[in-house]
Amino acid sequence: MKPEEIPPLVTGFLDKFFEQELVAAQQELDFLYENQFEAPQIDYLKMRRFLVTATNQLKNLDQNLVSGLVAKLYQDIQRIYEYYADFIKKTKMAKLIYVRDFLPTVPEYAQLQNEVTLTEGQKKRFSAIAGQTDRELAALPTPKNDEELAYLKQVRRRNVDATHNFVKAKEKLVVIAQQLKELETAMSAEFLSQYEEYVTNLKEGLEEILNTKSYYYDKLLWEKAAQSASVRKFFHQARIEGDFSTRTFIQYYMRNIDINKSGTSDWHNYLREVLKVLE
Amino acid sequence: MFKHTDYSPYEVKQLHEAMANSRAKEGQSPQAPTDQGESAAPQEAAAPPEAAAPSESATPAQAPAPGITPAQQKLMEIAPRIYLFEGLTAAEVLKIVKNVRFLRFGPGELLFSQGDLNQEMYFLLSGRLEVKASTDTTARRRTTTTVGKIDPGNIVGEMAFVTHRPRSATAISAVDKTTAIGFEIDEDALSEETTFIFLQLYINISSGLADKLERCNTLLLKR
Repeated sequence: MKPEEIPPLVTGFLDKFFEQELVAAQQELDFLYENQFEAPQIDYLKMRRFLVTATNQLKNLDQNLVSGLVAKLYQDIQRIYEYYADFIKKTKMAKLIYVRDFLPTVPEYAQLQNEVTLTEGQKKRFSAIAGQTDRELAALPTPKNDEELAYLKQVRRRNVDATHNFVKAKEKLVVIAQQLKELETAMSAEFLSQYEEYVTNLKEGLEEILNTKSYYYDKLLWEKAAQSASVRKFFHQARIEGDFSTRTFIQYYMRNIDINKSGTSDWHNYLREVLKVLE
Repeated sequence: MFKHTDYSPYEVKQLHEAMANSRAKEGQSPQAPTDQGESAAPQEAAAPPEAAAPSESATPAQAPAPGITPAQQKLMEIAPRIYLFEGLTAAEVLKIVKNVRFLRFGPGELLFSQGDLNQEMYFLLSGRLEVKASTDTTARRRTTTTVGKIDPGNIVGEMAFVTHRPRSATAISAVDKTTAIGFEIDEDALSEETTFIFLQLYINISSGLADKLERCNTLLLKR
């Protein structure tokens, strides 16, 4: 294979491999751009854990709060996030995808693999014949007449041929294995680099979708919360001062966490990180 | 594989409105949202009431819409934080209020006095108010007691709107540079179109006054 033939081959494969993801992400991004949704300056993905907590807390205070558009957007974000997390996990195994999915689509590689299968079959068959004729030769008595001598010679020839072909198949497999390895090496760098680019672009696209939707969800959630009598009552009773927002709620949470209690320091540190993000 | 969720133009509009409202609020208290009291309108507290609104409207996002005064714009921005307007949109609030204006009071200045006959309400932006009531307004040696303190983010004076009776207490600025937004409910705006807005308003007021009554009962029980 000529070196210039490799990049289009890889691109063609990756376009097809990520086809569904590319279409879905583009559709989401088009929707966001067409409707002039703005991406936030801050990383909402880091706030996800707290947004889920806040949603659950507010839902406990007012069952009707997470309904209609709030619930729809929340579920939408949850689904995209699950997909995003799965995407990150799956795409980590670049080398496996290269060997398992990409290489078999390369015609030369596929042809060589067919040859391996074929040659291994031959090797197995010749090995069996050689073994069988070996056993037969050992069992044959000394020829007593011309007919028995002719038969002995025929078995010996079959044995020699089988052994010869077995060795030839074995050598051929070594050569094919070498050719496969060369092909693998020749395309590996190009594949891994392009794969990385595709994954990064898709990951960034999914993050932009999640960030933007979470940003609007955060604002919508707290707008509804501010209108809820139960939430307002809770804020009043808990002496939470400030506007109805994630930041205020985090500050309230941090005030109420006993950091000496086991298992809470991680949560406290996380909230502190989120507050930093919000600043 | 995830599928794209469709959002109707109305839902998209709702999301943009939520964002715009949030930005309006952020513009109002960008420094320390945890402390409404000090952060509600620091610029206004430092500037005369007339100058307060233009200073805020200098931010493009905060620029009042045509035909809307800076004070009205401010009221629209803070409306989601006022229990009186719970469940109403900013546009609906604007339909039922009149005489919206910025006010500033020095220490000891009165917002209204016990016995006054008016229905103006005040949303405190900064500073602090003291509410005092006299046991007998006619007696020569009347006893005046402080019945409450009002911090920023709270509303005062709504009871007179409901009862249409003379003010039952006096509201005094307790500190220098107390700023508030004063407004009245325009009862002439009651029409077929605004029936539900007024209904919601009355529900909110009843609920708010019930809360105040409950707090009074609690205090009385503690004594």
